[in-house]
Amino acid sequence: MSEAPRERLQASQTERNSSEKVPRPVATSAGAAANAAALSKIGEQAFQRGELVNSELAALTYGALVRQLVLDYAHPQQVNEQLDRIGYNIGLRLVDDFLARSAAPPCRSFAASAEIIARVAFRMYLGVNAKVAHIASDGSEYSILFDSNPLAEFAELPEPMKGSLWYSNVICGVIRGALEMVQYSVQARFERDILRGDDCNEIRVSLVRELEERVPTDNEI
Amino acid sequence: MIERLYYFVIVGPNDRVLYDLFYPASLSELDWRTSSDASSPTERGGFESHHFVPSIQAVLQFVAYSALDHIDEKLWITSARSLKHVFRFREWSASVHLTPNASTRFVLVHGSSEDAARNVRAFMNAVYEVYVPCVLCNPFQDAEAPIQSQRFHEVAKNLAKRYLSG
Repeated sequence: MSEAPRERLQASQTERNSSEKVPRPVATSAGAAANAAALSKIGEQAFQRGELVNSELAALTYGALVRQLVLDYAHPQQVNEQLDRIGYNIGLRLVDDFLARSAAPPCRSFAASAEIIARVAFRMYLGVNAKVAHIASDGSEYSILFDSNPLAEFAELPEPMKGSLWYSNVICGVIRGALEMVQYSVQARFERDILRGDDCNEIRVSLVRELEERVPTDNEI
Repeated sequence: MIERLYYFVIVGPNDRVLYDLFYPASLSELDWRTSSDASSPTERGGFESHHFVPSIQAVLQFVAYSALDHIDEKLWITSARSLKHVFRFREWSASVHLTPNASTRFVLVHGSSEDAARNVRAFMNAVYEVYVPCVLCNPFQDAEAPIQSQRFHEVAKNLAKRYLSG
């Protein structure tokens, strides 16, 4: 590797939340821009606080994983499913780490989770700036857009897979798993990918239903 | 004219061709055998007219492949990664850049004058700089598979233009 890493990734581990002052975002609709800026700042701080891992190492490791899946499964469609499953299992665990370390304000609605994921989580774990777009009028669907993708830094899809493989599908799984742990059952899928020649990456997240917390019936209280 | 023709080839393990590039690009389409203005012996690659006349592309490829044997010999007596003029044939000369594993070799065939060989080393280094992220680090690229990367092809063409156009 010729030069020092330009970008760095967040490792999933480290010290707890320090007692830094974090600006509380304003909840009113008028303060939406200020809200986004405040969230970006929270994401940036969480990114700085955490332990960093070389992005080239992460990109190559992830590339090797995808490559192996491509060799193991007959159809890129199955590879997408496997990546989603891997991501789901990461998400289930990662959400704990996120809640503990990010210092992000709680989400009051499903739509509010969009900004938190895009501004804080993407910054914190991937080191990229993402933004929210195309929010459905009833607030049950939104897209997350981001330009650079550290996972796909070196990848170039072979021609036959350009129409079928979503290289970074693991991110969709992470979002699905993480939101499920905070009582939102969602579907997440890639809509656009720079690797396929699109102008940006887009992940579409749509709410399936809100899960209810229930006391298990067979427990004695 | 002949001084400014280049043939760049990446040879993988087992001497398999992974990538090749003619510069200028028109060279890869042009058939010098039938072209009417290729009447002088120099332009026909130095072959007499009553001989079988190979196309200029074939001559360039021949020089590149012949150079491989000379590279294998030189490999043991020098620690240099970049060797100029490892093999000469008539007015052609081949230079090589060895990647660290030494099984993948970048060979460039060029005119044998110093003027034509001036930027060879810079060109090879520049190509290697692109080769690492575009080819070596691409998870879908096998070590022995031909290089399909469009990105690499574009950059290699531009580098050839920048360094080799004199």
